[in-house]
Amino acid sequence: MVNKKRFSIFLTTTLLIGAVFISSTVLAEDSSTITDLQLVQIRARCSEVKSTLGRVHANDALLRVNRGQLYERLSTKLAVPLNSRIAVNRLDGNSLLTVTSKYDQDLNDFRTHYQAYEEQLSSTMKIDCVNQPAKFYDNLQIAREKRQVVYESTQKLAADIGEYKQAFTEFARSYREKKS
Amino acid sequence: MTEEQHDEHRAYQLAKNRFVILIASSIAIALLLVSVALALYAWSGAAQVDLSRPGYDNIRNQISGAGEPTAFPSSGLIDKDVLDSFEKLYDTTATQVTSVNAFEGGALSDEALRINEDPAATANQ
Repeated sequence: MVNKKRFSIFLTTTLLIGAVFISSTVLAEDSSTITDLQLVQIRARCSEVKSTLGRVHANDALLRVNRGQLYERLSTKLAVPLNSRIAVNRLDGNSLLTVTSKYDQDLNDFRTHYQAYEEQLSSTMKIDCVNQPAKFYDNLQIAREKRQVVYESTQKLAADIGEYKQAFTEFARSYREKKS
Repeated sequence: MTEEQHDEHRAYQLAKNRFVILIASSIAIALLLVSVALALYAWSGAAQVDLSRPGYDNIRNQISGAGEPTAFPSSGLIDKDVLDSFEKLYDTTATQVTSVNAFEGGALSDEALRINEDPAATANQ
């Protein structure tokens, strides 16, 4: 009786583990959109592909540092001091403050998104693409998606920069009108 | 061994153990602090902008630190000249930021990585 119970528990556990394994395998296969040709080419050109990824990785890091400095400069050395000066002079700079706040939020998002992208690309580069080309390609796809998010962040920042310029032009125009 | 000698021996052992414990705990604390520092380094995003890491030797000299404009003064009166000077500074920096599209998807595409080519072409290379 006890043995029968133990056997049924064992059987249920085995079936459950099997089901989980099969479903995860199926999901993993579904997530991969790699073609057989690409699989062969990734295996054959593994070191070349990794070398290209390494160059992209290094160039992106440089771009991140240079762009990051410019983004920071626009906010901390130009927009924030002007907003502060407007406030000290008791002028209405609300629209400039709103855009600066949005810009700072978008800049934070850019930093976060870049970090996520960089980590993804780094982990992709560590995958053995000779023995695991499908896993490598799946991770590459995720890196592409994260790079796209970073690109969208830069577009948002560019839009904010344009908005701030518009708000400034409007502020300067109304200031000049009041003074004349 | 008399009781006095026994006590002396125990005191010596204790002193010796204390020294070992001091060394071991110093090392443990140092390791813990280094681990926390490294975790913060990785977690905060500092690692991503640290070009002093190995592998970035070739691009390190391309960091553009020069040509930094002076900061706009946060105090003082506002007049037409001040607004003009701000506009000039802002336009210069904004043009530098927006002139080139960064992080476009092309760099990681199948074409850029050459993993979607005709097998015959691949074989000929």
